[in-house]
Amino acid sequence: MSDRAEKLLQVRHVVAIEPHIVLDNSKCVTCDLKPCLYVCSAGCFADEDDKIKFSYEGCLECGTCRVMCSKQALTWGYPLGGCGVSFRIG
Amino acid sequence: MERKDGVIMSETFDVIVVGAGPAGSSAALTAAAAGLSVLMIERGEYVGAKNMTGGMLLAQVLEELVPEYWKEVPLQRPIEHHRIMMTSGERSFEIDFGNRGFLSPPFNGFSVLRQEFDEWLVGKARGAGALVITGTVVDDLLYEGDRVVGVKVRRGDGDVRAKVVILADGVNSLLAQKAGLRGELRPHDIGLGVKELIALPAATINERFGLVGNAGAAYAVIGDFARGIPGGGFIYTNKESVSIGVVVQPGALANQRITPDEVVERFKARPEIARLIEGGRLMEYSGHLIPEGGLTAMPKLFRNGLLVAGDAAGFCVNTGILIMGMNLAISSGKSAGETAIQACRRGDFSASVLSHYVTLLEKGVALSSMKMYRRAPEFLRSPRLFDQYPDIVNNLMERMITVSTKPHESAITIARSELGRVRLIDLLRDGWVGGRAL
Repeated sequence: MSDRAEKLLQVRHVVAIEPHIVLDNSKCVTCDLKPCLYVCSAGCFADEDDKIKFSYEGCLECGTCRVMCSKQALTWGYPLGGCGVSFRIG
Repeated sequence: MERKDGVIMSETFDVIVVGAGPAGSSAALTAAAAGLSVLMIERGEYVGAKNMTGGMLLAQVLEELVPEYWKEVPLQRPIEHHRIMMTSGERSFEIDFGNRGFLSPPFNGFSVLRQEFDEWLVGKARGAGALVITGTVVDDLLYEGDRVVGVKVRRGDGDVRAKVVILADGVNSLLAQKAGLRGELRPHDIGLGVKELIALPAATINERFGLVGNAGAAYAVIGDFARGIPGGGFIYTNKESVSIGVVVQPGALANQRITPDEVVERFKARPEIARLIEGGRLMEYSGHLIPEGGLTAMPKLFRNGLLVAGDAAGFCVNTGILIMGMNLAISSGKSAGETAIQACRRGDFSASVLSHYVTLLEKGVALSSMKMYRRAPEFLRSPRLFDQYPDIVNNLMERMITVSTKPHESAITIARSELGRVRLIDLLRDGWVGGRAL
């Protein structure tokens, strides 16, 4: 298990059924830099067979991907009330 | 009449506050204490659930809200030592400013953990009469013509009306954007903070950090571990844990193809840092954006029926040594609450009355700090600051301290040759920008 995966195990999440961020990865095709692969502190973005895959479950809701995606490929919102990340200590 | 969480949703509140962080709770406490009806809406499972800090609270601002705050507020350690470290290869240079005066009233900085702190502050607002609902997202504002008259909450058919809405919904304030107060955040307006909370016994912390009793230390570290990425590492000692992490510019992460947690690992791997946290147990990992764009990146702060406070309004100052955020949130929240009181007394919620908010902000620490440090973001973007200068400082020290069998160089010669490695024009520019910024 990677260092990051182990760290993320310490974070409490209440996973909503509906994703709060949706990626349209057809827009990633023309993106050279792919900042999402590097800027996400939870590693929610992965490059699998030249396609960007996104999983919302471990998201820390920091908003970095929203600012850094230059292709408008993300529909970014907040999870349903009470869901998503719940920092216990902060 | 519809009821939700015991709140009569068809009631018109004097004030609705979106977000129960320091800005929101300060606004709600101020308004409720003056007798206004106040509803706070928080999207987290509980208050504080979405919040994290590095972090140190510059706490004197609390005195304006809760006299003799230190007698009851759950803070961690008063920070006695402020240490600045520059690393380069096997070398590190450290400055320590200590002040025992920071250990007694009115204090200065405290290490803080947000869940307990936010819960305390919202409790003060509740005690003053504010209603608090958690687990509820505000998706949009309600308008009548040009005026904001309430909020739309996601669950049920929840429209809740208010005379004034105060947005304290944090750095990603989607609502301030929807209300047309600001555009999208730009990459150079944000810093990404990533933190690990590491448990250690109090005695171990005191021994390793050279502390006595409940006194605390804060570290701001720049150097080669960050690979030239603007930003640096931080450490704050809590009672029985250490907050450690980095603040970095996301654009530079992407350019360098390195993730923020990798920068944290590189920071923690420095022997100077590793010995401080050795054997500690990871309690929590967290990340958050910091609005570092400064004065020029701030949104419009009000419109008819609407005020914006805290991170949502871009209240944050990074001086290079200190980051002010929570204190400015508290101060701006209080000013927003006071503005709402005035508007309610006059029965006028137009932008011209709400513009009084700016006057109050200028009198307090919030807007005056933003103005004083308006050039700091430019200085802190200098590529040399995080890369070349730590190297030069360590070279200077090494050459002054190393004595070989050859004739020793004078300090002036060493300084001249080291500073000669930076182009004079860049040195002058950084000196000029830095001098004016700080």
